[in-house]
Amino acid sequence: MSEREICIKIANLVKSYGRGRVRALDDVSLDIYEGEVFGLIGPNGAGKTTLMGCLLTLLRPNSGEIRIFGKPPDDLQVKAQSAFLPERPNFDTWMSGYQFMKYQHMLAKLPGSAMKQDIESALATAELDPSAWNKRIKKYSRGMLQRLGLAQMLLAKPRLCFLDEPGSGMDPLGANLLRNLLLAWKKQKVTVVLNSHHLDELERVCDRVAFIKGGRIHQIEEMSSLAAEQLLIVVKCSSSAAPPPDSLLRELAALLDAEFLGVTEETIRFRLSKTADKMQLVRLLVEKQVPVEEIFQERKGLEDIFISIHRDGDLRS
Amino acid sequence: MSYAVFLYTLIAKFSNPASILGLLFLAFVIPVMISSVALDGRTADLLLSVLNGPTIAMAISYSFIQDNIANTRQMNDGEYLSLLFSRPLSRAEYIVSKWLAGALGVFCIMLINILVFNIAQLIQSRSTLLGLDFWSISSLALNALSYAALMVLIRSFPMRLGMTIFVILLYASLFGPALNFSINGYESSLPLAYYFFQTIVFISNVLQQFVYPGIDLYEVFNSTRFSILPLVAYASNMLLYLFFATVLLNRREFSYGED
Repeated sequence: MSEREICIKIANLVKSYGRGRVRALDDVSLDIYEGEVFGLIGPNGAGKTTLMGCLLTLLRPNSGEIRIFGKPPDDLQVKAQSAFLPERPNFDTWMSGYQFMKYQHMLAKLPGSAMKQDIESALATAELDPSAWNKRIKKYSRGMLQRLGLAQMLLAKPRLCFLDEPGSGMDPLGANLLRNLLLAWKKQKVTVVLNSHHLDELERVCDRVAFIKGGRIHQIEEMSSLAAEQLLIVVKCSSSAAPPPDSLLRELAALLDAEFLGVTEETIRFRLSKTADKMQLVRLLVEKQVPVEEIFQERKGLEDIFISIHRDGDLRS
Repeated sequence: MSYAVFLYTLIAKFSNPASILGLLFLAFVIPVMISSVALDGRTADLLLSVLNGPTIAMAISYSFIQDNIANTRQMNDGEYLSLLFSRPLSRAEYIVSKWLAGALGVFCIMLINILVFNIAQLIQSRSTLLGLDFWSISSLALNALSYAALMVLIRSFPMRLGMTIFVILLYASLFGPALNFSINGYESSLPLAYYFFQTIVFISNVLQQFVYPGIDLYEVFNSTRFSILPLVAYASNMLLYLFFATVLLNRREFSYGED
C-alpha cells in the first residue's frame, strides 16, 4: 500500500473548540491513497465530521497540515476535482431539482455546452425519477434529496469524493444504488472518504477504515487483513469424549499449513491460510477421530472491532 | 466573479411572491405615494431625499443580498454554504458576485423608482421631476455599487448584529432629515427635547458623511472648485466594505453537520 500515491496527507492535525477546551481532533496524522475507499468510524462526537470539515476547508484547524493531491485543501484546482455529499441535504428549497443541478454545474465551472447532457446523465445515474426533476426541492422526500445529492456529486466526474452518512434516509433501493456507485468509483480509481454508521456497508466497499476515538485515530484496519482473519475455524468437541491432545492438533495444522491457536474447554481454534483448506480440515479431524460436534467459521467484522474498542473505554474519551 | 452566484442571487429574489411584492412596493408604491403629495419646498426636499437617498437604496440592496452570507440553511432562507464552498469558488469571488448582483438589483429598481415617480408627476401635470440625465444615471449606478457593498458587509455579520446595524442605519437615514426640519424653532420652548433630537440629527449626519457611501457626480464635476476627495472617500468606503466582508467570510467556519 505504501508505494501507492498519496491523495490526502494529514499531519498532526489539531482542531479545538471553545478556546481550546474541547479538542475535537487531537494530533491526527493519516495518509489516504489514491483510488482507495477510506472509511471513518466512530460514535457521534468522535471527530469524524470535524475531520471532514477540515478536509473540505469548512473548518480551520488550529495546527497541523493537510495536503490533497500535494496542494493545500483550499486550492481551487483541488476543489474542482472533488465532490461532497453532506449529511443533511438541505438544498435551496425554492429551486427545482433540475435548476439545482444547473446551479451546481455552473458552480463547478464545467463547460456550458455539456450542461444538459451532464445533468441528465447524473440524474439518471442517481435514479431520480424524471417526473421529479422539475418539481421544487421542498417537495422532495429525504430519499429523493439523497439521490439529488448523489447526482450533484457526479457532475464534475470527481477524482476525490467526500460522503458523510450517505445512506441515512435511503430506502433499500437507494442503499443498493449507493453501494453500486461506490463500487463503480472504486473501479474507476476514484478516492472516496466515507463517514458512516452503517458498518456492514463500510465492510463491503472500503479498502481501509479508521476508528476515531476522542479526536484521535485509534486504529486503522485494512479490510484485506480483516478478510484473512475471517479464516478462523472453530471446532466444538463433544463434552462426553476426552479432548484430543495438543500434539495431534498441531500435527493436523502442520499438514494444512494452518495455525493451531489453542484449546479452550471443548473448543479448538485454527487459522487457515486458504479457504479451500476448510473441507480438508474437516476430513482430517474425522480421520483422526476427533469427537467433533460442530464446526463453524468465526466472523470478525468492523462491528466487533468497534464494540471491542468501545468496551475498552468510551470512544469519545 | 462567479456568474452562477451572481445569476442565482438575482433569480432567488424572484422566486417567491412575498419578495416580489416587497420589490414592487419599493419600486412602484413608494414613488406613486410620494408623487401624490403636493411637493412644495421643504416637503419636496424631505420626500425626495427618501426616494433618492440612502433609505430605499439600502432597503433594496439588503433585500437582494438576503440569501444570507452569515446564515446557512438552518435559518431556512439562507444558502447551503457548506456545499457551495466545497465547489471551486473562493470566498472573495462569492462576496464580489453577491455585491454585483445586489448592485444591479438596486440600480434597476431605483431607476424604475425614478421613472415611476416622473410619470406619476407628469400624469398629474406637476413640474417636480427627478433628473434622468447622464450625471444622475451615473451617480445612481455608482451609488448602487456602494450601497450594495455596505449591505454585503452588513450581511456578513452574524444575523442579529447585522439586522440591528441595518435597522439603525435605516432609522438614521429617515429620522435625521425629518428631525432636522421639524425641530427648528423649538429651541426656546422645549430645550431638553431640542438638544436630544439635535444629538440624533448629529449622529445621522455623521453616518451620512462617513457610512453612507453615496456620491453626486454632478456636484463633484460641476462645482466651482473641483476636489478629488469625494471620489476618494467614495471608493475607499466601498473597497473597505468589500474587504471587511471578505475577511469576515474567510474567518467563518461552517459546521455543516448543524446546517
